[in-house]
Amino acid sequence: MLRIENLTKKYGNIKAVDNLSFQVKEGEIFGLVGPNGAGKTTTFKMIATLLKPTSGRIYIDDIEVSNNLKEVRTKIGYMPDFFGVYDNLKVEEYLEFYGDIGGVSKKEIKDIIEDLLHLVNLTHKKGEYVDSLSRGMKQRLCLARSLIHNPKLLILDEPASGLDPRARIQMKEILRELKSMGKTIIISSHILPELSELCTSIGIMEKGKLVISGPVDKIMRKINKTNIIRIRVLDLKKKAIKLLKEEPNIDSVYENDRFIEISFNGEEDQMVQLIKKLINNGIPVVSFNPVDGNLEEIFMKVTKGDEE
Amino acid sequence: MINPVLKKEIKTRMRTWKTPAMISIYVLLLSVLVVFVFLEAYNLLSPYSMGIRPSDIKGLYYVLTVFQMILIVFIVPATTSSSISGERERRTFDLLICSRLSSFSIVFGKLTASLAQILLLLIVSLPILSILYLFGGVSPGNILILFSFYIINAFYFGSIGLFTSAYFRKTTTSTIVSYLITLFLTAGTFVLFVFSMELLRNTGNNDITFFQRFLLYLNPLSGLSSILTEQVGEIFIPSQWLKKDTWDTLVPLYINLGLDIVISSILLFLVSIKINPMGSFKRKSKAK
Ligand SMILES: Nc1ncnc2c1ncn2[C@@H]1O[C@H](COP(=O)(O)OP(=O)(O)O)[C@@H](O)[C@H]1O
Ligand SMILES: [Mg+2]
Repeated sequence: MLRIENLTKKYGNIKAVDNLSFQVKEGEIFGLVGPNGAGKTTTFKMIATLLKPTSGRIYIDDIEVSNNLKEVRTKIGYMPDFFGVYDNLKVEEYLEFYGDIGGVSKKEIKDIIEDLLHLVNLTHKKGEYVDSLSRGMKQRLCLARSLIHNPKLLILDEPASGLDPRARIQMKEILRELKSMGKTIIISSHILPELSELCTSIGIMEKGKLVISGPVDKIMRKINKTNIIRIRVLDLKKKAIKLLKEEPNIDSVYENDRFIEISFNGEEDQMVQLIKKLINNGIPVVSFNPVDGNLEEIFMKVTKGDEE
Repeated sequence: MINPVLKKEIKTRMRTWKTPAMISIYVLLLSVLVVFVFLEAYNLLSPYSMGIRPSDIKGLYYVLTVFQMILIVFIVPATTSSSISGERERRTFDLLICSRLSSFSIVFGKLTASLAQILLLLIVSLPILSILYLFGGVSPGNILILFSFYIINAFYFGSIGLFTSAYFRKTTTSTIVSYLITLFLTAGTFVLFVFSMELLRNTGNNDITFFQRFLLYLNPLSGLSSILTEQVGEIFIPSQWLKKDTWDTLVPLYINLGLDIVISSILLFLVSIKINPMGSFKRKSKAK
């Protein structure tokens, strides 16, 4: 459905998105999580044909985006993180307008608007002016708008941000309903738990890079278990590294002239076993401490859900 | 099918207080002008009234025409110079761009919405102009030609407004620049022309060069002057400034309109390119 290959966007010297690759299959809900400034919006804008990538390719339904704008634009429904509405336009007319520019036929438009307003709980607001709606209602209306031409791929950039808790819950319920309808969705948030129940797969992004991605249960397990451990040895560094690399619970081993760093995803008793093994092999271990770093750090940032 | 942007623009504009206010002021100004000229003509302030003479009607037609031209030229940039920057500022533009609508349709919709407004103003001014018709001296054909000329100029100045609204982020900047351009094209070209005539005279050469005339051809008043010369006789821009003696009266009008259309087309084309974020004219993908 959606395939992204080596996507990069530079603003001057800053790489907002750095060599990003991932895939989303039909019917999947892919959550892109990362702190503010990670590059989520930039990524989504490129997928929504609103920003030209510095390099890399995006395919939607196996169609290359940059050379088939018109075709691609009928396939996507985009909800930006920030958006505005027109003055002097009523809710129904607002949807009619976007239906009109989305190529919806006159015959169908009334029924579609009824259905969508029902979906987002705005049927009773049909005749009101759009700019008189509350923030939460506008957000729901914008979601309805993005669905009006029945797109195959929904791109939702932080749809629940800036909402009060009640409006947030309402938004989530609508998203769950969309999920049950089998829509393919990519959605972003800077709060991981917000997405973990909704999404089928998740990617965690930081500084323009995808740190990890995969099915949601796998990612959650990995995040909860992974520890970065910094080990300092007095001697026999080579041997220590060789031993560490043999360990099944260690994903990666990194060394510099002061210490060795491993990412360890086992339980605590396995950690004890690891220390024992090093000592039994005569490695002079000076220190062995889990550090706040990389994955964990990102995870902390992401889960805290700090709102600016 | 009617352009969706045009449809929406007309709908929302008619709901603001600005549109009826603008129409009222427009009609009011024209009426005041007519009443004033009539008072003059009948000389109501003196007991020796002569009644309306054909020359009064021609004078009135002339005054109304130029006045209407100036109003149009200064109303159009007001509405078009915010058309794209305004959408950017209120964050609705992205949603327009990522729809199926082509850049050209967006530009076309915005421009025609502005033209529709001008058309409305012209229509409400018809009853006033038809008074002149009743008194004789001005034919419906005259008015038709005049209105066509106005519409083309609305298109010209509308393109300028659209251009600045696409190339400047802020509506205030866009509006100021579009008015500066408008002012240059109406008054500036005229002043430059007169200035260059002075320079020329000092060198003892009295032939007006094409370049000098070109300045005037950029000015909508050159076209209008041509039309009025043809319809009611010589008036505000001396013919010898606009054309060689051997040329037909209407030649300056044709050159003026031709320039309007060429410049507008170029500007609209540039706008279409500018608002397309995927820049189809710099599409070359970098080799890895
Ligand atoms: N138009 C822009 N010009 C320059 N830098 C930008 C622009 N848009 C975004 N950035 C930078 O790109 C990075 C990613 O931003 P963004 O995609 O908005 O992150 P997120 O949506 O994850 O919060 C940030 O460092 C931001 O400052
Ligand atoms: Mg963002």
